[in-house]
Amino acid sequence: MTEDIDLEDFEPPERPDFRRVARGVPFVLPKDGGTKRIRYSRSSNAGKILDDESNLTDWKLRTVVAGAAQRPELMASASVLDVDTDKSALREIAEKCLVAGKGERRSVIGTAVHAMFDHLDRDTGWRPPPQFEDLCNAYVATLEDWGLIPEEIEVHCINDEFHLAGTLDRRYRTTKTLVAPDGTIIPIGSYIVGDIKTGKELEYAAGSYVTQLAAYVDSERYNVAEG
Amino acid sequence: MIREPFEPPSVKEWALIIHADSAGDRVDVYWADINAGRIGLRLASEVKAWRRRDDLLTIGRRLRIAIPSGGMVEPVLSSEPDSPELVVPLSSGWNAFDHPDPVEESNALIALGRNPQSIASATKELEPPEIASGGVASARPAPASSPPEGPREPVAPSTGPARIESRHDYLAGRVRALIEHSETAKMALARAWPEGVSGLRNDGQTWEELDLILDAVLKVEKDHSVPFYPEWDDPDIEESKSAHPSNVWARPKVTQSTPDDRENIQGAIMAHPRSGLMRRWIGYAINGGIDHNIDTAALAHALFEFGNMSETEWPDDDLTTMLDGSLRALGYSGGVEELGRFNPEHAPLLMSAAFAIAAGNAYLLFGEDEKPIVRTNVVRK
Repeated sequence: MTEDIDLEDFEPPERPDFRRVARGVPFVLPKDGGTKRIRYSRSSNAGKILDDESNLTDWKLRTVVAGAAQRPELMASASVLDVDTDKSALREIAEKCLVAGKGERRSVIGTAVHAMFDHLDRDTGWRPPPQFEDLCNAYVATLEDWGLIPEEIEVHCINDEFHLAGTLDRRYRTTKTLVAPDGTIIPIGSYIVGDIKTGKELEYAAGSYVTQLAAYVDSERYNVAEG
Repeated sequence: MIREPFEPPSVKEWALIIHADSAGDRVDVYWADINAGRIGLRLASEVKAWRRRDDLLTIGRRLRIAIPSGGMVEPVLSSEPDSPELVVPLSSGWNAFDHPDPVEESNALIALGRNPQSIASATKELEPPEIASGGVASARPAPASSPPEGPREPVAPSTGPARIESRHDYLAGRVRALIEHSETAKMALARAWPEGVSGLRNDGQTWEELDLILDAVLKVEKDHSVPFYPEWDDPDIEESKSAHPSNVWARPKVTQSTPDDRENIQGAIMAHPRSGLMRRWIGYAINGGIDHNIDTAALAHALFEFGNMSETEWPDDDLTTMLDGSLRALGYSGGVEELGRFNPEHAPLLMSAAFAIAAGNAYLLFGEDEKPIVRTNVVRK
């Protein structure tokens, strides 16, 4: 249940972030050494434009309607609003209906799981709550099985070619030889970029995931404390 | 260092996705194909650029005079016909304004041309030599109604106190509507208000300051979906319209020629590489029963100007279409079929059309009857 999760219990220690402007858009210093900041897009959004979001839209509509059925007082408020002139008020109501339909549950849990894995990889001595113990154990076992050591966690990076900025989840060092699907041998001691996803299914957004990871692989480290 | 490469570098062809289904207790590892991801990055970049294009749709408009308050003439967009090879590109820096020709408005589309002064001089340069002996042009019927009286100079709308006051009051109303729309829009306007410019409760803003206020209001209206507010009813617009060159009519000069002149132009046509094409056009005039008592040298000069255009750029059929369209623009609804009743007074206009076409400063459009019509600006003196 969403209500059972308090994100503050799971959040890793606060760390610096990109300077951001409206809607969280990274606002970074240019590569040429200039001091006038420029807006970059988020790496995680780089490929979203290519995704087929019809299933997501369909799910959202279903969930909002289901949530609205639980919140008659919100429907009463909506009944006196105009769809063209009261956009923000109606949007707020729709978001509340989405929450009522438990539409945010998965993303809240997903954020929490992300934070849990951060604790595990940073080896902070944190112990998972009982309802997530199996999942956390599975994560640790998977890393061992694949021979992945998280050398760098949540690294700010920037791809100047495509004007993208983001936070790379992991750079794993390999302790076992890995063989990629095309037969490429990844030798022991290699550094490989890793991203943690917690959605139900990956297939719907596979395109944007590989695009996001390509942006990371071809990026440079960005020092947010100085920039 | 703000940026630095990753050391040691990451594997370049593959990355990993650690998938933890937060609703279960299973963790899987997926290989992510980075080369495919790079294709995605390029594709996404192209899609974004494509979505930003603002030239995908062009509104088609009927002939309309549009003179905004600044006294300049508004550019007019037009729908183009399905014969792109016949469309002469519009030169930059041209303005659109009403055409003072006798074409009925219902049949006309859009007139495009450069500023009246330069057209006037261009027309002058192209006028056939004026000679003393007797044309009978006035005996021929003009293809359309009589012109309005008297040329007037264009008058730029003022930015005097009365006009500023009118605009001030208009903006005050628009700001009130915005403030009433929502508190957040009101706050946004306060933030966006131009620095150093006093509020509209007071008078005394300059024209430029009112421009800055309008910019801020437009931005906030857009950002906060403020309902449409009517445009300013500029008190100078009627005056501006009445002073527009479209209301100016000047008669073309009567063109008359000597026998030598007629002989010269005939000789030039016969010796021209496109002699066949020009004789075909002259054939239209003869078949149309052109009156040999009138001066035909001016028409011959005009047809010669058309025939002079580059053969590579203008194949015969296309050029005939342009001539056809130019004649329609002059009021000959039958185009080349009406060369038989061509009024020699119109020869300078036809020549200036040829000149404009050759210079890339004319536009081919199609009327509702799907007949071509060429538009260039012609100011008659």
